[in-house]
Amino acid sequence: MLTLVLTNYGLAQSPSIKEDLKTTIIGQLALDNIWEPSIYLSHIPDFDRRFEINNQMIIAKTAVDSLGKFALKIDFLPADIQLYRLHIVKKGDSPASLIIGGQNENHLFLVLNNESRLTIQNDTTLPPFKNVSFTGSEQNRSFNSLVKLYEEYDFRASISNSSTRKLINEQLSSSLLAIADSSQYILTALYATYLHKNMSGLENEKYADLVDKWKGSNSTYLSTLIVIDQKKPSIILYLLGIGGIAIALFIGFKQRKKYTNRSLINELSIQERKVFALLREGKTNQEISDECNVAVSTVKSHVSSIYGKLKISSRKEAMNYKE
Amino acid sequence: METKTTNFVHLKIMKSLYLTPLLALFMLAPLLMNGQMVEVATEQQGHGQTQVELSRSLSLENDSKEENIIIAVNKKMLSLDLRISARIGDGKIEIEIYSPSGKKEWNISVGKQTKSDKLEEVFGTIAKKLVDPEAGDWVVKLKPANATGIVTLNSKSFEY
Repeated sequence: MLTLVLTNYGLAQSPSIKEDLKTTIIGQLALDNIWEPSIYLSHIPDFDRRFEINNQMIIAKTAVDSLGKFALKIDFLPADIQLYRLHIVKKGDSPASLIIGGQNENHLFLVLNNESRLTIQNDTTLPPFKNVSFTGSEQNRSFNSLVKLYEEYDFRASISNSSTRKLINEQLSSSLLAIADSSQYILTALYATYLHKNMSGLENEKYADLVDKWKGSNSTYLSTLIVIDQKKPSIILYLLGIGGIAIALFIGFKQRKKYTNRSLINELSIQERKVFALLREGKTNQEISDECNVAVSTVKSHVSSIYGKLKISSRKEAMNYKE
Repeated sequence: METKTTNFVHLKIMKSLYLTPLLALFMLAPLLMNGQMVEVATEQQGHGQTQVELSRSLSLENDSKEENIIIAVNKKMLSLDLRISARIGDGKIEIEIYSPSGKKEWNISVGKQTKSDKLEEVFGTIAKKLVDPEAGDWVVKLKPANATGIVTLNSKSFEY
């Protein structure tokens, strides 16, 4: 068992961890020998899919060295804050393995963007992510406190009789609402709202006050929480809408030539960003396939899509592409 | 849609076996589900408590038919350990666990998005322990979508 305490980016100084300015998640895990020495990062596109696992969700992988240290480059992630999941797998299991609950729970949620910098350390081996500390990311500390709070209440409820269970659920309900109302971090606030909605069964209308303040963010995680107006718009609104679209198309046409490479890159999916980053490093399809844990045919499909979106036609152009 | 049954291995050797009404109920459960599942149940008694262990497995082959597995919990039950695993080689399966009051307690989704993935399978497990579980029918809902693979459910309960 390892007990090294990390309080800053000193982990990157380890000779076994390649120091790289683009390395933005570094950490050390005390792990039993039942686990493979690798760690995987998956993208969670919405809260409903947080307990979903498939190979396509895995966007990065890195080795964990004999001391439990690892470093993960995430500079290819989008600029907006999104939800991700780190996981490890048991020896002999597929990389796409998710264990929920029990001593072998194998995952940890993270809130990241392309500029995130954080260190992670655990202090128990079973479950390996039960007590994780973060350095350098108040946002992740906040999000994981919420996850932990929910799990603790869930556990307490599962070992209580029905009357106590009701009381615990009431306490959880008010805690979630308080977090949803007061958190300064968008994903913490939205996830608290989402959890409350799931446990209460209330309609989205009831959460309008909590959700409205985040609407300007255009976060995709709002989609399951916002109220969709079912009312039919009046004929005037129709006309205004058509007029607006016409003006937007006209302006869009005029602005088309000003479209920057950066905005084209924003059109790439997270998997495509990862492949694009590897393309720019000069990696072959086979190397990208190995790194991303997908078939070569899937890599070819991503490359073709990237070429189309970026309006390029060769690897050389990809390597010379200016953002 | 074709569903195959598979034998499932399990459990510890027990000192004595008594077929109680609860056990009989467990054993009747698959008959209510068109016999598509294979299950093994054991019961062990000692120290005034009864331990019932139950294992069920379901093989899927390009399967999209929803199945409900009922776990009957009576008021004497002290605890219930549930472990549900899915190992999927193709397609997708969603597993949801509902309490007797109808609340979705936990869920997991396991699957492959493309046939071209070179990795052979995807694996997911939910493991939960309930102490003094809510009495009534707990429902494990299996929702496969063109899924090929195997789902296993292990439960262990203690009661007076």
